[in-house]
Amino acid sequence: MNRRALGIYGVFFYLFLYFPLLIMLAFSFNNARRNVVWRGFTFKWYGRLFHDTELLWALATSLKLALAAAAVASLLGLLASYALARHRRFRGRGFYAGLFNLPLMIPEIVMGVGLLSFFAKARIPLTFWTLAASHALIALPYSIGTIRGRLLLLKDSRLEEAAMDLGATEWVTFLKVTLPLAWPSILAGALLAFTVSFEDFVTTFFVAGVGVVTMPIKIYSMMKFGVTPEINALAVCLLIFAATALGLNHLSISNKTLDSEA
Amino acid sequence: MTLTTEEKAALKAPWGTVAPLLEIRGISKSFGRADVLSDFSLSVNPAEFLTLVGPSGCGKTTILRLIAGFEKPRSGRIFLAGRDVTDLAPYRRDIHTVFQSYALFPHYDVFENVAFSLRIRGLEEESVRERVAEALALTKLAGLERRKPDQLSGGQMQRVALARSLAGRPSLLLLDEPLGALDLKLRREMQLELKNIQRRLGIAFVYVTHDQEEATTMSDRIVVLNRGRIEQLGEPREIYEKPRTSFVANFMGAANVLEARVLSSSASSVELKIEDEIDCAVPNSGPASAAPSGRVYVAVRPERVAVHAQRPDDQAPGILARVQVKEHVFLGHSSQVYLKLFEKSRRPFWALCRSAPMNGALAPGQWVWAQFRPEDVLMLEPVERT
Ligand SMILES: Nc1ncnc2c1ncn2[C@@H]1O[C@H](COP(=O)(O)OP(=O)(O)OP(=O)(O)O)[C@@H](O)[C@H]1O
Ligand SMILES: [Mg+2]
Repeated sequence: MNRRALGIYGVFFYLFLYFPLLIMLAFSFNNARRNVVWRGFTFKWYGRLFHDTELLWALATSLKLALAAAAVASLLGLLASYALARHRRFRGRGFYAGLFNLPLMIPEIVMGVGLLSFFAKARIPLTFWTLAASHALIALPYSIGTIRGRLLLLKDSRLEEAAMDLGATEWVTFLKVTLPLAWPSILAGALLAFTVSFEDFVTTFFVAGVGVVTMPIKIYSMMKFGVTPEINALAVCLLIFAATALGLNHLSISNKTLDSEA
Repeated sequence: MTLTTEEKAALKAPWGTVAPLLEIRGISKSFGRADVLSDFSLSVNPAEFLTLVGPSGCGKTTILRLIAGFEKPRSGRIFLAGRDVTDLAPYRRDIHTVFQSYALFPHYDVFENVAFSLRIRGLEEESVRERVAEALALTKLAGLERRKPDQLSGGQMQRVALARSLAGRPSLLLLDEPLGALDLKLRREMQLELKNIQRRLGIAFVYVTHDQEEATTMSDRIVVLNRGRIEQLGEPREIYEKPRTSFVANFMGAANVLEARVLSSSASSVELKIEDEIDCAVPNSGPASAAPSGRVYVAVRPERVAVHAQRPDDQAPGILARVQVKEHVFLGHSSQVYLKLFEKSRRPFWALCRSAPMNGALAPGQWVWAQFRPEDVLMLEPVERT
């Protein structure tokens, strides 16, 4: 193909992807209530954002929620991946592996309804913690996915066998070899889980108890009055946050490979 | 459990024979439907260098993994220094392994890799340092303590893997093709060093290789395996000079395998008719004489066949045959001459000559004389051959 044509195609491709974001970025600095005409540069929407206590509360709730969900998903994910990777041939392994991935396949709306009716039937009051548990559930496949791949790689490299051969019990092997080498993947999985929880809307919409308002829910309620410049500013903040998380994730994965002994 | 020299000496049975350090008794192992080993037995003596050789997939790695404890046998027992270790986890056995892929811990430097087993045993810092230094000196790695595995060459990684296994002073070391990833020159060097280290430390080695030359130069005894069975077990010389089957003859060195008929046999010699053409009397080495007047197979090593342009006027010409040259391959230090032994013979027959015979003036189709001594006709066990 012609080089030039390829270049033009590339430009359009990225414009298609990122133009909406650019518009958003621009209008977050627009000195006007309406999003249509450019009326000059201002930081005031950002200023207003940081004084909107309701919004800050929602942000705090979302962050706490994402942290809790990421922690639970990482711990459960590590245990599940360990079982799936380590014991290659236990009965029903394929079935369990599939089961862990199920939350990825099920439409979120079904998950939301299912969780809501479960909590209702079981007479569990909807609180921050039920929401955290629900988020951990939808984030679990992501952490299992990242950790399991790494553990399988570890197994193929015979490092755990080498440790046991040198006298380490299963537990010591886990602490001295498995954990340090799987750490980057656990971190990457936690970041993913964090993001999944942080941006979740549908499930949250169903199972958030009264008074538990997360960021996406808050934005949604603000949108009822149209897309305001504050929302643009907020979106830009979130974008920066997401880009940072992505960068961190990338670093933690690519930093350590098992190349040396593969 | 580490044995002191006295304990090792005490293992020697009172009647003077040595009690085996490792004893595998009637082990069976299968993966799914495939039987890899069935009723396999083997013993390893203290301080012995024992090598397992055999074609790919014959079960060498499986045997090592069973000894190390990574696989459980379906039946049979394994004894280490008289103790049944069949059901013990790998970390409860006084055995260390050098993996073919080395399996060095990438997050530890050379020092910590070598110190791994010592730290786990809770040795004091001072003795850890002492024994790591010792192991590193032994494997010529001093000065590389602070390198990470990914900053080492292949040969150095190999040495670290060895040092790591030796630092714990096991009574038995398992090595699965440890030199497989090294180039030929480095491999030859390491062979000598390994043998040296083994002799010096008096640790028993069970060594796996598919390089028959490596097996021959290093081992006290060689086990030739074929499809999970022992074809032959013996000292390198014995295996080379008295291969029992055509498989061994072909696997340990090269061999021309020929068909023969036993005409008569006495305690000292056997009269044979080789390929229905050559009459000869060869020394009776045992196995084949069990089949009087039956068909047997004999092997002649190519390096024991001489090629002459003229009929040699020796006093004792041995076995002489007029043969036709099929092909001549010059290898530099030697040359291979492919011959047609008889008009109707379809078995390949070739000679390995140290210098090019007749100054290399050997053309296909040319008639020459092939000569070998009756002592070099090796009688094989009467096994069916395809
Ligand atoms: N984990 C396993 N699952 C299934 N089959 C296996 C497994 N390990 C080994 N085998 C089979 O057992 C047989 C013996 O394998 P093994 O690795 O012991 O051979 P080997 O003699 O070491 O071969 P190589 O020289 O190629 O390393 C092979 O047919 C192999 O396919
Ligand atoms: Mg193998």
